[in-house]
Amino acid sequence: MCFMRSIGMTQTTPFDPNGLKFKIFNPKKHQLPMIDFRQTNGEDPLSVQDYYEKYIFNGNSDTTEVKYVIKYFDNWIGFFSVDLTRLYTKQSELIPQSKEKDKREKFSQVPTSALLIKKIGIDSQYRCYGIGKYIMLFCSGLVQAINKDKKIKLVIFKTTKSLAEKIYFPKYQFNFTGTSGKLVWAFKRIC
Amino acid sequence: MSKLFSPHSDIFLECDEYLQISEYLNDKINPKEQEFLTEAIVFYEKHRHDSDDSF
Repeated sequence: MCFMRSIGMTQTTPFDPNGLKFKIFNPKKHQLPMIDFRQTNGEDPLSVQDYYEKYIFNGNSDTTEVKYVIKYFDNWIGFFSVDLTRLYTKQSELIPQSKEKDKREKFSQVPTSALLIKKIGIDSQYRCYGIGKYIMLFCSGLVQAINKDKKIKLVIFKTTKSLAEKIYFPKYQFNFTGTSGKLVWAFKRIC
Repeated sequence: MSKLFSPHSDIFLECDEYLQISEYLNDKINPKEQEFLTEAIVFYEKHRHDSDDSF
């Protein structure tokens, strides 16, 4: 079990998921502090810190996605942003060159609708408490709630191959694309 | 569908990525996935603190 150190106290208390609150970010209502979202090695391969400072901390609103901010009791501990998206194949990849030509063309005609999690940021002090799982649960619940017509098929997000292999697949059963680069798409069906 | 959520973006995947996802969607949902989805809707209803993401 994970325990949290109370600020200014020596005792520890267990992490309580009932203390989590997810709120749609409103820059007029929510004033969040500067939070460190970088990896422990100081890197920020998914540009989470830049996104937070621009769109949450400074409140710029020139994006279309919906941003949620997360509180743990009285502390702001993270955020994520979501958007509906349509998945296509790159047209350049559709030049018939294999026996699966018909299959490829069929797939290219109808886009797949998905809930895209554009950014996820968790305060570096609150990692290892499984908060990522609760974000995944919330997003999967959200999309089921708005998906009465079953048109949205997936939750999808870009992450590092390392996180996909170590966390999102083994802990939360998110599959991921087999690209050879550092970043992959993680995905899970919602219907 | 929610007034907050309408498609805003398109993602163009590599063909093998798209095929992988399409083939995954062709498979039937398994009990572990169904359990996660059931847990998700309960968690969402309990933890949403805004009414403006309702549909």
